[in-house]
Amino acid sequence: MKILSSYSIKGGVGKTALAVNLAFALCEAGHRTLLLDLDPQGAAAFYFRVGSAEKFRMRDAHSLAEGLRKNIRESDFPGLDIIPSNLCYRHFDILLDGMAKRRKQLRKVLEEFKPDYDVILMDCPPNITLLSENVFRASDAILVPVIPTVLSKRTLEQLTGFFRDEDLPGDMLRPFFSMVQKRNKMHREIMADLPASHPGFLKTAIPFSADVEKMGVHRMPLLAYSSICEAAMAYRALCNEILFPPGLQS
Amino acid sequence: MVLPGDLGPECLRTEWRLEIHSQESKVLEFWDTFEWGLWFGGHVLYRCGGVYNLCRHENGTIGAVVCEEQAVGIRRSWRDFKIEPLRAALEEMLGLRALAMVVEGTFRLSRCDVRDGAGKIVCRLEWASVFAGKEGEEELQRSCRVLPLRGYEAEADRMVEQLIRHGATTSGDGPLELLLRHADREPRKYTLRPAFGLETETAAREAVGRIVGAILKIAVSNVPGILSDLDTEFLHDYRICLRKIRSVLSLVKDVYPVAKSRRIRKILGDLARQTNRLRDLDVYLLSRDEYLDLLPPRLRPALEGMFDDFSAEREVEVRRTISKMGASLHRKILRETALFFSEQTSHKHSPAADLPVGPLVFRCIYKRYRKIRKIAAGIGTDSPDEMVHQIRIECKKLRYLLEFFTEIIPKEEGGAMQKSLRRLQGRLGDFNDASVQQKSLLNYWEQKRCGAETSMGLGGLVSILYHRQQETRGLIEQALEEFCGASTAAAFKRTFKQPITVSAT
Repeated sequence: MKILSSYSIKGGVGKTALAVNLAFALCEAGHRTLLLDLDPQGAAAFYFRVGSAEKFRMRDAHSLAEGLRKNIRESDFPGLDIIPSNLCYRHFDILLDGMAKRRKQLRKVLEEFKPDYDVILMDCPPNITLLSENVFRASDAILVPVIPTVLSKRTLEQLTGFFRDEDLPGDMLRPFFSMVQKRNKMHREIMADLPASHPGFLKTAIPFSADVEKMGVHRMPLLAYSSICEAAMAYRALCNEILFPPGLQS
Repeated sequence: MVLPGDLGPECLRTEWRLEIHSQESKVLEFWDTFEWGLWFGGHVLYRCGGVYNLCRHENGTIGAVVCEEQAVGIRRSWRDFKIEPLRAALEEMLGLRALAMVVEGTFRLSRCDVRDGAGKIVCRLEWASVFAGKEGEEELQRSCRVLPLRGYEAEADRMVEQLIRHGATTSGDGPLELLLRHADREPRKYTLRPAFGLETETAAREAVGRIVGAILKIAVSNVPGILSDLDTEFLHDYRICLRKIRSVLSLVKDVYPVAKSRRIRKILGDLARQTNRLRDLDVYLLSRDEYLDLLPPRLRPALEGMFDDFSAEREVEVRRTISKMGASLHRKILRETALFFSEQTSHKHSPAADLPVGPLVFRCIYKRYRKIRKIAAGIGTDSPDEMVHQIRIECKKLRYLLEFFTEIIPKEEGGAMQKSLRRLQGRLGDFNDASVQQKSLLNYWEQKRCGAETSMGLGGLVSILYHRQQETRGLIEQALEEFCGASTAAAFKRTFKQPITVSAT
């Protein structure tokens, strides 16, 4: 089982769009996928027309796993399940803070889902908290959408700095360009320079697209209603690049 | 859920949004063996669009697919399948039996997504209609499967309640059961050892009549399988049935007029003899792999020729057997035999006809056991094969008596006796097989004037079989000691020996 997360310190960079469409692409490729919406805004679940999770008491890792399991909802797409967000997730930090090995508890919880899923994908809130640290330590890869702008570039550098300071493996960070506008000169320039200083930078870039924004109207992944548009193809290519890194392709 | 005839998914529209998908129609052919090996093994095999699907069988409905295989043409034996897990599963359930189509039906299926107010699918429904035959001639049932989505079980429960309010029921036969009943092909356990409903006081003639009638019925049920040469077990069981009938008539004497009883035994013996060669060839061909494995690879090709000869001869024998058994004379013999033993037919008086069968048969059993002990006492390492053969025949007769009258024999004692006898018979059977096979291989060698390679192969095989036979002899002596020993003898005496009654004059 692989654990992936869609994460950025910055909001509005396309984290949820990535989580929703990547989850769909993974499921389309035959992987049993669980999308865990950790962002209290609950946008990922909204896109799948799934209501918010029922409240449950979080006392320890076991009750956390049980509570999450009870909240699994089957999506309209066979092979793709969702754990919707709930405001009670704001207590995650308090719960984790009270536990031994408090930065590694989430991995232990997610391991319990191993028999049922090939991939767990987490849509994370845009902050650095104890929950984020747990996400970093639980994930096999952290997918970081980066809009090719100065501010996004700065947040990526902040994130890599945090990884360095906390002695976290930097190669887990897999940034990629998101909401790219090829006609924008600044986008082109940043795209030409930035990957060189981040070895794990993914080659696939997701273009800016009005189709992606319509996900809120359709309330389903872009890949489900506009399967062959440029952005949809890019999400599929990104999924492929994550599953089959170029070095491993035969 | 079983639905009333006119109920469709529309009845749910008041509460849910429905998305009905296009209907698909499939013709499913269901396959099983004469013994319903798959059905009673908890499985169903069906062929649809050139694909064989092995599924679990759950209360007359087709459950989860275990394995599937694309196949051009008909598959009869587990050996005809290519995919290993499918072969293994079928081998266990089919053994030597062949597959035949038991029924076919048309399934019309429409799927429907049920959405809540937000447009989320909360449940899927499968609306199925089952029709008899491949043209969908007669609708047998309409049913609906409610498939809840994980996390939306409460919605599915509400839907079930709603369907029940509209007349649906949660019980009733599954579609497969209905198809089978419609075709008059309901699965029944097949056995060569049926119950006859005997009691100690049952009149001997009535008891023997019931036994013969029931076994004859089994023999007759095997005839179509022999005529279509579906598998080797039809002939095998048919021959066993004839042997059992002849056996009971000769073992329980004087219940029918002697001349008539003798005549029937002779007729049935003749019928069985007609099939001797075919059964021998079946036995050789079934042990083909075992024989070849006994030889070093270098000598195997030479023996392939012998099996090819047997196969060719079998073709001829099958045709001959079919023409004899398919003839009206054969049918007439079986019909008249059945009539002879039916309760409606009256016969002349015979000395044992009205005696209670219990004491009569117990005397026969005890007599047979003592006879076996007597022969066994004379058997040693140097005794001729014929003596072993004779004891084998006597054991077979005793086994039949214990089997036929098992209902009136005390269960515990009878079970232990049969177990011990089975062990002995197994060893006697191995000895006899090794002896008969040597003779037939040498016969083949003499008749065919085989070349050097084949002679070497046959010689190798004969010597292996000879050694096997010698080894078995030691085992037979052990088994005889157990079966004829003091404790078994005491059990036989306790159970079957009748107290001598002295009448006062």
